[in-house]
Amino acid sequence: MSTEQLNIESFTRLTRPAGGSLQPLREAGMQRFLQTGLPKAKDEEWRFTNTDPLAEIDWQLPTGMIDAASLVAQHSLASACTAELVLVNGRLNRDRSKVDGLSRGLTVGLLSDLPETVAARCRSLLATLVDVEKTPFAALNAGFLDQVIVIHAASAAEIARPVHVLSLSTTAGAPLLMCPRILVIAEEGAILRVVETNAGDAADVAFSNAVTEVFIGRGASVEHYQSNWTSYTTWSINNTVAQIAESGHYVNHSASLGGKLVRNDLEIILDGPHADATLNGLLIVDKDRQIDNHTLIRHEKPDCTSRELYKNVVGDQAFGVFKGRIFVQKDAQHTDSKQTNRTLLLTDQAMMESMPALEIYADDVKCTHGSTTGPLDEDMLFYLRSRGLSTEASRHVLIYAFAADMTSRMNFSPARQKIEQYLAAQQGLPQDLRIEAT
Amino acid sequence: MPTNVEQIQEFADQQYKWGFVTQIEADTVPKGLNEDIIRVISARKNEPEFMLKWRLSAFERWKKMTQPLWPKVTYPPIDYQEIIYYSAPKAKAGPKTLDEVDPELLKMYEKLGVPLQERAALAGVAVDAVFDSVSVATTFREKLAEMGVIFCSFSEAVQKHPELIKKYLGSVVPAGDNFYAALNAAVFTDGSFCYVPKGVRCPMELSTYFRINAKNTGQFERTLLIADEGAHVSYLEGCTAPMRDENQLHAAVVELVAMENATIKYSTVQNWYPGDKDGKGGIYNFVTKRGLCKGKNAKITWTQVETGSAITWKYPSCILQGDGSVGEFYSVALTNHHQQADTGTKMIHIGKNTRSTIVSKGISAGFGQNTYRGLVKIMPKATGARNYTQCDSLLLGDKCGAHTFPYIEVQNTTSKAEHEASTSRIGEDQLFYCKTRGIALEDSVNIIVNGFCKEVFKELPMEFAVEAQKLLGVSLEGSVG
Repeated sequence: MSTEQLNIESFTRLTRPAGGSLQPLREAGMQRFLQTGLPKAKDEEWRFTNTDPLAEIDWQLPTGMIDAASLVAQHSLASACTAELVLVNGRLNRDRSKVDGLSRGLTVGLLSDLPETVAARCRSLLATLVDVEKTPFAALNAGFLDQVIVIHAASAAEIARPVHVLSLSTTAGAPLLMCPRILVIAEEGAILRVVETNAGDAADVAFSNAVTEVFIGRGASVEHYQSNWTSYTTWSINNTVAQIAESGHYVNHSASLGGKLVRNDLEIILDGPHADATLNGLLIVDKDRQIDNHTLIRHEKPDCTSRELYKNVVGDQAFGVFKGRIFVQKDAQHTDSKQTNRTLLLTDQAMMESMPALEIYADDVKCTHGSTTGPLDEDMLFYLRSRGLSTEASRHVLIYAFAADMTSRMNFSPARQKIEQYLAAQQGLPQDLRIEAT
Repeated sequence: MPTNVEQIQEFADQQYKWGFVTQIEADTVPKGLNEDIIRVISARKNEPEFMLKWRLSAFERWKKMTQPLWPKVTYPPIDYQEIIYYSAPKAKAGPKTLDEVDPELLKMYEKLGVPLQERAALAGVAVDAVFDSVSVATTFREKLAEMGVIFCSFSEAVQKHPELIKKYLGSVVPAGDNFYAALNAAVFTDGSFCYVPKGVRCPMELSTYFRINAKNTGQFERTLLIADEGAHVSYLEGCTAPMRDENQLHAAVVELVAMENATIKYSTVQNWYPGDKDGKGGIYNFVTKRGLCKGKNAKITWTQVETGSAITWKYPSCILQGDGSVGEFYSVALTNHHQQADTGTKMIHIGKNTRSTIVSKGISAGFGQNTYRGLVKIMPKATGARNYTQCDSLLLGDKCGAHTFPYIEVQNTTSKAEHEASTSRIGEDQLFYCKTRGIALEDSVNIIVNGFCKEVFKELPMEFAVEAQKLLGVSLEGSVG
């Protein structure tokens, strides 16, 4: 097929980065993307997410180094973190990043800058979870691969304070394509917290096509925050895969707040007995935007546990999508998996598509999923009104409480507070409103 | 005591005891599918012009379609030019009396509690030998005619009531709806037609037992059922006893139309040949079933018990167009050996205050793969709509699979959709409890499985429910998870 038919001219005409150890991966990625093009609506996985408009925009690659001081000031969590990596338009800004005084056993930085022992380990794992075959966007990410951000916790290293990856866009009018790539490795017995924040200028027109790979070694534990605050004109495609070895723990907190069209693909591979994963997702979408969460939990080995709770608030003319698949491999006995998806629809123009799916090939398992979609509960509204709150105020409190159920599960309070303040502001509630975890 | 694994193996090795009957039909058309074949079918059935036109337009559409690949089933590609699409119902070279019938088969009927005269009909004994059955059927038909209920074969309806056929045929499942529905529309040979006039409550369960003139409808069956304002009808399709059939591909279409305040209850028990223990042979059951709640407060209930067929692909659906209309779907699907089932329902809420309930129970054993696939769509104007979905899967054995793929689309704030699903196996504690009460292992499994399916069985007409329970027991003989 020629590139004209695939309609990917806006990507193929760009001059891609070249050279270095990443070159073979880049070539493979581009080759694959030339075969697939952008996903089509007839592809079941992309049925509700139309990415065709991406082909109509005259994308450019970021050039030079931009300071973005005000954005950094707005979103920095440096005081609470052991390290902060600031990416501006997909490239590391060394001046704004904080990488000194790291905890023992922690290595952060660009793959190309790392000491050879760690770098070799990273190269052997890079693109093994998200290879170029995975999705057309994974191929596109590989094709434009420039820098690989690495967060590596050595064996038994206990990193008390989180590592913050702050990915900012400030495009100054030009539509920018960025392909950030993050590699997180927690070696055997390590404990690590990674906080990813995506944000940008309100006027940005950007396409962030990110890939994050997380390796959790035997008995290691990773808590991973991913929040999206990008402008309402930004496209965001995120592909995250976490592989958990025996007795490993993984917790993912996802908060999708900004973006014109956001598509998050989150895949968890429970790859050793007694591994467990917890997925907490919050989706808040309004205007005519669309946010699409696709999760897949693969129970490959016996005795693993997974818990998933995604809550969605869909307002205005927005469109929310949730597809959650739980896959249980043959012989993955004693799997215990629970998935819940709850949606609040705030207006008659809003729409939610919920697809909780179970795919089970082992018999001694406990798997359940539940999905509800509906308006605010009449009884709850009535209760609050009987206490003297106006209908409007009652609605705001209930929407806040619905969403705060997710933030209350976050252990890292700066991340949690930031989202709670955002929610409170959105609902016109006092900033210090706190609902404690029960 | 044999271990569970051995028992499962033993169960898996059980053979389908009543094979297929080969027979030579005299009045057939050449194999293959083209316009001429469709003209021949239409001409042989002496159909009016509009029917031929409708068939040809369906064929035109079908030619442009491709076989759906999304179902979670695998089978070798079907060569549609290798099929004989018309074969006139000739006297079958079947056994003359019950004495000639395989005693194993009769034993099975006994286990299921099938009445004596029905056993003969089911075993394929020539119809003229089954006096009782005929006379019963005739009495029923007379009684129905008195009430103004039209219940006859599709061909007969085309001849006698072309105005009704013209009005309703394809109104729920259009000719080009999907690949198999289009194929059916082009070549269907016969089926059932039922019209219940205004305000009539059909005095009996309409069942295939006495639908003698619609026998041998072949692999492309078409059913059209209309309940006019305030009418009430309960229709039973299929039967619990294993059906003999020589066609591998079945692509049936069922259309239901319920007008204002009408109620249609459509119950199916399907137990076609599932193939041998290695998954060879067996029926492919690709069915399109859809009901339209056209008027206010109409109600359609689909109840199905699916235990047969190598592959089942069917989604009995409801379009809830009239305000306050109700759609219900109750299903038990059992897959064993190498059987595959991809089944579920679609509930399309269009009218205000429409309600739908989905209860689906899947049981997988052996290498069986059981999939629930469903859509609940609540349109923007369907204010106050309500859906409740529950799908439970039971796994017996570690080589089988159970899958759930629901789609839930809600487009307004006054509606509520709920979905719950669970997957589990029979608990050791449940079995142990039964054991301490002196209940044999096999009976325990039977009790637990029947308990699992209770919510669906209670929706079946009484006699059918009893048979369905027994059928499940027989199908799961020796299988303990």
